Amino acid sequence: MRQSWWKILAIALLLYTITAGLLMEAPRLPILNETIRALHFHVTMWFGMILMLVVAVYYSIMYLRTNDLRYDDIALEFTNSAVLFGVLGIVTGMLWAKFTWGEYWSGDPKQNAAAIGILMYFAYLILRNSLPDSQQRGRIGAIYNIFAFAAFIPLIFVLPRLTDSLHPGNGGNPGFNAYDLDSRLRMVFYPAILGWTLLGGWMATVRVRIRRVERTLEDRMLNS
Amino acid sequence: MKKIITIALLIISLSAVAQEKIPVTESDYSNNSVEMADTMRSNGKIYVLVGVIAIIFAGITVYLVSTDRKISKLEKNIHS
Repeated sequence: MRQSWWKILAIALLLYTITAGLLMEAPRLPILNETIRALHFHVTMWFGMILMLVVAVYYSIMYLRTNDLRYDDIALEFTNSAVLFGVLGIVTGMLWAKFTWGEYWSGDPKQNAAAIGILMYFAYLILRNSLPDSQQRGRIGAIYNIFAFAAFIPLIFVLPRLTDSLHPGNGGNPGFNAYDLDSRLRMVFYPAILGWTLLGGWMATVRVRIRRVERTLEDRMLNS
Repeated sequence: MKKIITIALLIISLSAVAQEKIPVTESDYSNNSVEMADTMRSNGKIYVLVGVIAIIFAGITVYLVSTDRKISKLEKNIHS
């Protein structure tokens, strides 16, 4: 295994998240009850997604500056991992919403905005696959990716806050905002963010390496 | 330098904006009128659940590690 210290760190942090996240004392709050522990699993998916999208945008910019397809591979695979996390985030959010808000999907501004955001990234993946030339695919993909990120952040962080929403932290709903202040939940929450993000990054780098091997094989076949 | 100090002060003052937050207090931890999984904890069964999830996570990890090893081997073969 290459450069394994951060991979071991990811495993250790996630084992800590699972055990401490489920066993540690949690605030006893009405409606939420034990589901408050989903903070370490549902919310961290979104944090991990955003962090991986930042990496993807960085490598998209690097690709546009250098035209090196290896940067494009990294941008694509980090987006793939981020989309996986986003889908898991939406599905876990729906399950959580069923038992705290009453409906899987209540058309809440946060839910709708998150769905639009995910759809934008689905469009990115489909757009890429529709372009046969790898340089063209890389360039259009990179530009789309940068604009998608620029639209995604206000979509899920700013717009839902401007209106009434059931989701904590939005529309004057204090909800989960409060838990930022709770140091005991934070002791699991922050390591959980790092752990999940590292796991997503690990999956992305494995797939990047597969792409590089594929490219080397392709070049060899073209040259022989 | 001045800019950095201004930015630092702005970041610190962000917490002052969030006045609407309801802090979690010690009383929330001892509030027994809210139902939690206490029976599960007193029967010790919560540890079974933690074990189940840990096993699943371990399985996924082993799978990911073996994929990582496989690709490492491929990389070594292809570049030699």
